[in-house]
Formats: sequence, structure tokens, C-alpha cells
Amino acid sequence: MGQLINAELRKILTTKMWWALLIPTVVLGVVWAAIFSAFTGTFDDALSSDPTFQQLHISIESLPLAVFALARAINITTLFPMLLGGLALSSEIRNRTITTTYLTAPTRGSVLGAKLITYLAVGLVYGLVIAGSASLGMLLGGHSHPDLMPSAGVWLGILGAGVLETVIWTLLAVGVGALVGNVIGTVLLLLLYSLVAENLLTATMNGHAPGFFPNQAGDGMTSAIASQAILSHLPTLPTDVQTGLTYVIQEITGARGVFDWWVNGLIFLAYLVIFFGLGWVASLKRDIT
Amino acid sequence: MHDGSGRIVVQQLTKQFGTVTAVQNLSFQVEPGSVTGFLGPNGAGKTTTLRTLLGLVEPTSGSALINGRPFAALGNPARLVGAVLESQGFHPKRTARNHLRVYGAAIGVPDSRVDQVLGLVGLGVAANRAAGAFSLGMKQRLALATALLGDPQILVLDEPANGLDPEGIAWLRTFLQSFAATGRTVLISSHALAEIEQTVDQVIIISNGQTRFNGPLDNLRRSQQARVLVQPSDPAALVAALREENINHVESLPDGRLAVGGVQAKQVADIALKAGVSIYGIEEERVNLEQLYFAMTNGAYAGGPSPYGGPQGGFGGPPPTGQQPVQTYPALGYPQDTPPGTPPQGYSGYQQPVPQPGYAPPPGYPQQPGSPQQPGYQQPVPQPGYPQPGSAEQSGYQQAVPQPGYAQPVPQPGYPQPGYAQPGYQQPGYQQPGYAQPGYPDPTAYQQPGQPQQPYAAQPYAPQPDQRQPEPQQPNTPQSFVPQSFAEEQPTTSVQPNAPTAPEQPAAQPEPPADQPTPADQPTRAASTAPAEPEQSQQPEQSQQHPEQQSPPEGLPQQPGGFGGNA
Repeated sequence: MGQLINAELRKILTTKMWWALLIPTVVLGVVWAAIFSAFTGTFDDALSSDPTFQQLHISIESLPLAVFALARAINITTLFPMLLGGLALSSEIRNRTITTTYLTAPTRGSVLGAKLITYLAVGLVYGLVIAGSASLGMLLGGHSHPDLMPSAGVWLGILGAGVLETVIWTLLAVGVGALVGNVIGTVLLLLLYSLVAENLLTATMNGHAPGFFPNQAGDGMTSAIASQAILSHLPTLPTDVQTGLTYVIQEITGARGVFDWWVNGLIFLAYLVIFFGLGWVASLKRDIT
Repeated sequence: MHDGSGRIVVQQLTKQFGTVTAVQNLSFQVEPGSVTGFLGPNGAGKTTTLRTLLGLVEPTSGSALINGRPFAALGNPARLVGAVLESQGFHPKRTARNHLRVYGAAIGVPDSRVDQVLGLVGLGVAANRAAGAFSLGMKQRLALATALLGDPQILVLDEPANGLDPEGIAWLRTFLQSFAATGRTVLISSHALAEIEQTVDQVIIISNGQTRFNGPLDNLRRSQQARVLVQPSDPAALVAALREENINHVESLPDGRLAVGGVQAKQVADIALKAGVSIYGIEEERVNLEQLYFAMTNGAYAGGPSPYGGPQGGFGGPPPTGQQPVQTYPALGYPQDTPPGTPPQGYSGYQQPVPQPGYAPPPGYPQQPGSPQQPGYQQPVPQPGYPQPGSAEQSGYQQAVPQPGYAQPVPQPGYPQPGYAQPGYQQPGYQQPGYAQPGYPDPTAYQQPGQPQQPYAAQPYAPQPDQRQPEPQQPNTPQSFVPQSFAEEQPTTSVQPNAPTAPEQPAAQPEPPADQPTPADQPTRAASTAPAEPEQSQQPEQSQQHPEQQSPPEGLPQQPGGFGGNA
């Protein structure tokens, strides 16, 4: 297995895809986080000076609004490692290197096992890069409002959830690629689903229903921590105001209908098991012609 | 684990892709220490068989084992088996060296091995170039380098010569032979016998997903029997003189020449001289391996009735246009245009050069009604005396496909050769007397005279029986074609007056070479073969060039029955 993992690593490192996807990951992570972070600063200024809002007596300075930027930037940039994972097997089928791959491995299962471990590592690296670039962007965009920065605990919590989310997304995409067996089909399916289809599907749903969908479950890992960090700073408010504010904050952080972050993680993990399992079975049965 | 023998065993292998049966009940064995050629026309199932062997395709039934184990149970398979497949590819942007480093890592060989194999296949200078920019030949070399990474005991190559320049092919040949000389196994597929003829020691020929021949190439070579074509001033006198010398394998050709089997040209000339017969021309005709190969595999081409009606006939060349067959081969007079009842012109003369008494077509023999004249039809033995009235037989023949134009002039030459182990050949529809050769491995395949199916058996002209076999059962092959063509050409065969053909067949069959494929296969083959394989595909060119009647030598080979006697 060590040999096959080494081979998988070499496959990744001897082509440009891994860093070609890493560049937009970093750029988008930094820029996205910086813009959001700067926006929350502006928003904070505007809100603080608003007479109506002042009547609520909410001390807005104490709200770590920059967590929006952190969670949002992480959630959007996980698209890139997801694509890398999606190509893991489908591009081998496309280039027909899968033939040689199977001919040089004891079994097909060992190939998939090696890919699982290798892409877990790849997801981890990407996750760390994403955490770093999102943090950098948040600092760059919000340096004028240090009071909006989250506490170290919340910050690390969001980063940790983000790394986990990235790893799961990467592996889930490996499974989808193995299941679909086609590069274009895999890429379109992953992008259209996560960017468009799921949002349309869940648009009219209430309560926790959206939280059961894979993209929302994944995004919810960071968003749940972010929204809770803000809500926990809110003073006691009338119930209806509390409910409405919670809803708004969850929408802003992209955590609509989510559960606690670890529950979302388990739901997302379940999707990983399902899709990787399906891809595994499909790969074992697929005739290479 | 595996037994380390280096042996490949394919047993009863069947693979269906949806409704398409790519391989049917295929069995063969490949031994170490030799280069084995795996031959068959496009679509014969070669690639599917090899992929199944390598675990890339799951067989529908049967098994393909390497060293006694399926591929997935070999452990680190690349240390045992190296493969160059058409389905192999390269990442277009990955360099050759990196490609090898990837798979070297998977196999567990040191990176130094990468440069070794690169040097071995002559890609050292291109090592750092992306494989996507490689020519087809360079890709083949890189694929071979990949196959060699694990220093395997067995090499499996699917059409490796594709894209290689002549030098590359020569190099590959030498390489494979030296590889096999070390006691290792090489299985190499190709659709063209000529391409690997000089490389292989053993040959497995498949067509329509079934084994047609399995044995040493030398056996196949030996089957190329030479005939002497002679143009005497007095054929009858020469035939008589030859017979006195116990040379009975004589056929008369449409062009008036005689074809004498089993002798040297010198002998014939001497005999003629003694008999006082002038010789206007004499030449030796040799059937080449390619023709034999075509004959064995033509079934595959017989997909459906061709629009022309011609192609299947084996008439050789696929006629460019539908009508052409006729035009081209005027001599044949083939029937496309002609109404059934009409005897092909020119034909009559032929057929009956030698009246053979007693040649009563067995009832049931399917001659085509109306075409009495085409006695030749019945193939091998167009005997004058042939009283086949209604050519009922022909109909049987054509059964399925009465296609005019079908004339397959060239059935397979060289048939009658000993050692002919071509299972496929034996297809019932097809079988020619001569076919039964001693070397014939599969008794079953061969239809033996005694078999009920062969109406002919009873008659002296045993040869024909096989061909005739009316049994249309064969699923895939349009049997009918074959017959017709035969018939036409066959007229030429009329000779051999005395030689009782019947006996010959039997003799041949009994001697099935032991080496041939396992018994298991045989049954299947027989069945498969049954579909008359359209011989058409073969030697089209020849026929064109030499309309049968006119044409001399070439036409000859086509006569199925002619030689049969030799056996």
C-alpha cells in the first residue's frame, strides 16, 4: 500500500493540476475574506450610528462580525480541492492511465484505498492553505476594526471545521468521480450541484431541512460555529426579535437550517461514506476497455 | 500464490458486452519459452481476451489464468506480467520519465530502473518530454518500457507494432525473441499474420470469438503445399501418365491447365516427356501463409450479405461496387444476374471434364434447383457425370444466402494440407475435402465422412460432403455464401477422376495432432465453424485479377475440393 500511495503522490506532483488549483484557492480565499471583512467593518459603522438600532441597546462593538468573512471564504474555496478530488479517478479513466494503474496494483481495491489515503492528505494540505488564506484575508480586510475579530477559540474552531470540511469534500468528490467515471460529468455534477442545484432545492425549505443536504451540511460546519459565536454575544432579547435575528445571522453566514457543527460534520461524513462506497463498487465492476 | 510456470491458460472464456458476444467459449494455452502470436481479424475478440486475462474486463463465464491464478490474485502483478495494450494511455503533460517513476513506485522498483527501461526501448533522449507530444511509435515504446519496469516473466502485447517504424518493428522482434529465449512467455496479438510471422513460434488464430488454429507456426507453414500448374498439349494423356506414376492428385483448372499436387515441377515435366506430351507452360504455385490465415478467419468478415453480394463470396476483393463482381469476373459467370436456372457460361465446359461415373448426388443434397450446371457448386468435385438434376444441393448450400455474385473464387488454397490444424476451417458449410488434414487436431471439427450430415460421404467424392453440410444452424455465419462461390470455382476441380476422395478425408481426420487445442474447445469450434465462413474475404485480389476461368494459378487455390485428395 505504501508503494501505491507513493505512486498516487507522484501522479499528483508530476502534473500541474495540484498547484493550478492551489493558486485560485489562495487568491479567492484571501480576496473573499478581505472583502467580507471590510464590508462587516463598514456595516458595523453604519449600524452603530443608526438611531433605530441604538434603541436596541446592543453593544455591537462586542460582536465578532468578521467570522462571516472567515466562514464564507472557507466555504467557497473548498470548491477547488473538491475539483481536484473529482479528477482523481475520472481523469485516469479519461487519459486511460487507469489501465496501467490497475495493471501495476495488486487489486483495484488497493488502488482506491491508496487514493483514499493520498487524497486525505491532499485535502488536509488544501484545508490548511484555505484556513491560512481565509485568515489572512480576514485580517487584511478588517484590520481597521480589530474589535470585530473573533476570539482565538472561535477562530481556531472555524479553521478546524474548515480543514475537516475540505478533507471530506475532497474525498467525497473522489467517490463521485469514481462513480461517474467521466471528467466532464464529474466536474459539472459537482459544481452545478453545490453552487446551484442545492440552493434551488432548499430555497423553500424551513427549519433544519436544508441542513440534511450535503453542501449545506458541509458549509454548516464552519457556519454553525460562526453564527453561534455571534448569537452568544447577543443580550437577552424579546423572543420574536431573537428568532428573527438568529435567522438573519444564519443566512448571512451561510448556515441556514444547520445543526451544531459536529452534527453537520456527521451528516457530511455520511455522504462521504455513501459516495465513496458507490464509487468504490463502480470501480471494481467497471470494465476497462 | 501463483505457480511460477509462466503459463497462460484461457478456458471456455465467454464475454458479452450487452448483446454483443465478443468472445465465445474460447480456450487456449500459452507456454513459456516461446513467442505466441494471437491472431484474428478486427473484432475477433483478441483485445477483449487479453483484457480479460489482465483483469481489466470481467468475463461473463470461463476463466483466464496466469500462472494458474486470476490476475487479481497474483500479488504484485507487474512483477509477473507486463502488458502493452491499446487501451493504455499517458497523461499528456506528464513526462516519460515521470510516467515511469509513477508506475515504478507502484510496482516497488527503484527509480534507477526507470532509466534502464528508457534506455532499453530507446527513449532516453525523450525522457523529459511530455508523453502527449509523442508519436504513436514513441508511445508504444513508452508502453513497452512501462511493461518492462517490473522485469516480468510474461509479456502480453496487443498490436504492439502499430505505429512502429520498420526499424522499431525489427527491434521489437529481436527483443521479444530474446525475451522468450530466456524461458519467459510472450503473447502478442495482431490482426495481420505477415506482421508477426517472423516473430512468433506459436500461433493462435481466432475468428468470431473462437479458436481456429492453435499450434506451432511451422505446422501452418507445412500446410503450404505446393502444386504444380502445368499446361500440357494433351491433358488426358498427361493425367493418365501421371496416374501410372501413382500421382493422383490432379485437378483440371478452368483455364485448361492441370494442377498436380504433391510433386515437383521437374517430375511432372519428366513424366510428360516420357508420355510424349508437350508442355507449354509449367509453374509451381505456393499458397502463402496469409492466404491460409484469411481462409481461417474469413468468417469474421461475413457479417451480413454484402450489398454487392460479392464480398462475401470471398471473391476476393470486395468489389467496389455492387455490380462489379460480375464484371470483374466475367468468367465466373456468376450468377448474380443470372437467373437460377441459367447455367453460367463457360462453366459447363469446366465442370465436367471428367465424367465420373456413379457420381450421383445424394439426395438431399442441396443443389440449387435450376442450376444444374453448376455442379461445381457442390464444390470440390465438379464431376462431369454429376447428375445433379435439380441442383437441389445448391440450394442447400446457399441456403441462407443465395447471393449471386457470390462467387467466391477462392476458397482456400492450400487446404489440403497435412498438419492443417484449423479448427475453424472445419465448418460444416465449408469443409472441403482436402481439408481434412492429418494434422488436424480437432476431430470433431472435421466432419468426417461417416457423419450423417454429410450427404456426400457415401459417394466417392467425399470431399464435398463437408462443405455441403446443409446445416444452416450456424448462427453467425452466412453459410450459404461459401457454397456458391465454391461451386463456381470448383468446376475446375473436376479432375481426379479416379482418386476417390472420400477416403482421403477420413484419413486426415484421424490424425489430429495432439498438440492442438484441448478437446474442450473442439466441440465449440465445430459448432462455430459450422457457419460457413465466407471465404470471400480472402484473396479478393487474386480473383479479380484472374477471373477464374481465365486465370490460371490463382484460381486454383480456390478450389476447395481439388486438393483434398492429397491428404
